[in-house]
Amino acid sequence: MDKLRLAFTRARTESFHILAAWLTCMIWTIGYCALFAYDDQPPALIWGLPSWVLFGIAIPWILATAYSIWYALTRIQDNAS
Amino acid sequence: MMEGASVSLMAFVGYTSLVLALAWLSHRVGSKKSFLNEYFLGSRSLGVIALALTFGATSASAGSFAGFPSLIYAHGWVLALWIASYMIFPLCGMGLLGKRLSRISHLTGAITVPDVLRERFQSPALALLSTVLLAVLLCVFLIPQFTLAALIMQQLLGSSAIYQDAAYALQQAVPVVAAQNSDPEYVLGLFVFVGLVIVYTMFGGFRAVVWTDILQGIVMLVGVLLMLGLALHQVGGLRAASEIMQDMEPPELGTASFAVSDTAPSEGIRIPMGTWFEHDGRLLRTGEPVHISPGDSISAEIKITSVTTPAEIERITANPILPLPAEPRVNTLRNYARGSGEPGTYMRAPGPSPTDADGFLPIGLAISFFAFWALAGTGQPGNMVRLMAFTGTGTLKRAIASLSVYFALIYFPLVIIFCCARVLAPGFDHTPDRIMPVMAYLLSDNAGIPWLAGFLIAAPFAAAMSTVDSFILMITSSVVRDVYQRSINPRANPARLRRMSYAVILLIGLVATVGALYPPQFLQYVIVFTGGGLAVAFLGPVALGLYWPRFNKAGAIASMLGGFGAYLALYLVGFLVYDSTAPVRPLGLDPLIWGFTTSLGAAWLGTRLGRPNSARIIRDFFGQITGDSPAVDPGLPIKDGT
Repeated sequence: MDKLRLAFTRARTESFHILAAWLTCMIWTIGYCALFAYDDQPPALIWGLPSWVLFGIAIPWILATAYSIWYALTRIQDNAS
Repeated sequence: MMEGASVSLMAFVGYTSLVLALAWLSHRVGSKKSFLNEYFLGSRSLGVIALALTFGATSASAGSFAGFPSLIYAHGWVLALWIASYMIFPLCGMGLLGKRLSRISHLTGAITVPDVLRERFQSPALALLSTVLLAVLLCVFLIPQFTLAALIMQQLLGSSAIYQDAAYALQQAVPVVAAQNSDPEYVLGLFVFVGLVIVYTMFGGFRAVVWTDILQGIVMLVGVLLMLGLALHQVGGLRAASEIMQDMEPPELGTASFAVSDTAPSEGIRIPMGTWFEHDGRLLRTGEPVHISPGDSISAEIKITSVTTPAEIERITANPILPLPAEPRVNTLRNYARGSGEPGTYMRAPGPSPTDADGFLPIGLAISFFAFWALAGTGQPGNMVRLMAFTGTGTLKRAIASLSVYFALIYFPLVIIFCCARVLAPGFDHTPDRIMPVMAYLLSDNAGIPWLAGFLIAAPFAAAMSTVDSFILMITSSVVRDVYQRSINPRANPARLRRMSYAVILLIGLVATVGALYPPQFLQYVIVFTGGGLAVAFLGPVALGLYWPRFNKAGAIASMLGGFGAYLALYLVGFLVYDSTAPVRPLGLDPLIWGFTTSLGAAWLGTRLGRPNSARIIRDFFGQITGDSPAVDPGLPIKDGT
């Protein structure tokens, strides 16, 4: 396989991984918030945040940031020159 | 207040001087290099910090620093869900297309997005189509950016006597302008901003834009973190703010004019924006400045808000409400369509809405926006251009990591800050677009450090500036490179291209200024429409062009026209059939989702029906196909089309 072809297939594989990460974030955040944010009752407060914000958005945000850093620095491969 | 205005003015002048100095420096650095490659792409020399911050600063526009805060203020915690896909946006926005786009643009020498499309599909028609879409949508996109910047200037310098005198002198001197907009302070702010951005963009090109983006990105981050600390301290902690919001219900919105029994004195009568007053047993706040001209007895109509939460009224009236120099004449006040009389509506989804009975963010829209920010951000031509200008994959990898941290430190704190704003600065519900500068002043004054307002206000100003300069340059590059140089005058020399670029920049500034004389109410909606339009038009053709060898010219044109056509149609149906600025949302999903779906469907259909790519195109863009490659479609109908 020539270098351009190799770079192309690698980039395509990485793009599938990135789309999967986006989909995972979406399923968790939308799913959790659909269940607990659209509620007529006042939400419980944890550390001053509505509980649905903490578990549906804030914690996933921290995890997604950590994953992005790990994936970018360790899984994305350099272009073959 | 005058002292505060003076130090804010000094801080602002200092910041502006720094921006202009960077532009001058970049002009010196770039003056000996190839004009087009340097002026529009900075000779492809972006490093990690430059790539991360220019990508971040360009993405974080007026929408992030005025539109987004205004929506948080107006609808509460549900905005955390609205913006949630920024948690993964840096990885998507840079990682999905970055490596491929960089490689292809290096291989082909492309310096604009239409350039890439032209090379990949060997189609001047597609390049022209994409240039037209790019130019039109970006010009519309510039209008709310200019509007925000003018509002910030007004807020920053409006209390200065020099600024007020200059504004009213402008109104007298240029009556044509005064006829378009009744607020001369806003008009002056607009002119100052436009002049500043045009000068440094024209002078320094891409390198100046990137260097100022770095400065602006740092200002934004420091500004947000300072505001977060001050807001949490002044509100008594996040729990205290949330507990007050648990009892809060939406206000009533209305308009009022102010009158005096005789005529106003020679200096006129002015009542500042944000003045509390009582009328018929209600507590109200002015959302705009009131001005009764000398010799007149009544002001123009302004927007007002009537606070309805009992605990909030008690808290505000603990301080005396001073009598006004003019008598208010309040017109009908109206309730919110969703959330009225519901304490705690700001703490949960879908959030209150003045106009929509389904609330601000029904679940279908929440899904749409999760897709919107990540995918639409990836599909922004402004972001794509940056991915064509970095030095190597290592730079891209570290920039993704840096930007992930940067966005986490910007967007979630903004939600916290402007939920606190509901407690610290109540009563701006009818003019929420002004809440960012209002908070900057309030937090600084309460902290006893008025000069800080100049710095805090520089953050949204920097956001508007960093987006506007990039987009002006992008439109210019498309027009000069893709239309003029490649279609009209291929032998144009660098001096001519430079003059052409300057002329186009001036023209764009003029068009957007005229548009900004009629400011839209919610900046964010205009930004969402144009941002979505660009994404549905460009993401399909570019992404499929980079990753699908069989994707051909017919597929790309069908994808671009189909995606944008479907998106636009849903907005037009909403406007023409339902007489609404909101689009039609089949199945509760945003037009963006339908636009993307149509774009992909049209791409597939166009590719099937169109002429296959030549073997040369496939070899040049995807490498030599070998029989054992898993990426090769065995049924790929390759033939030389030349």
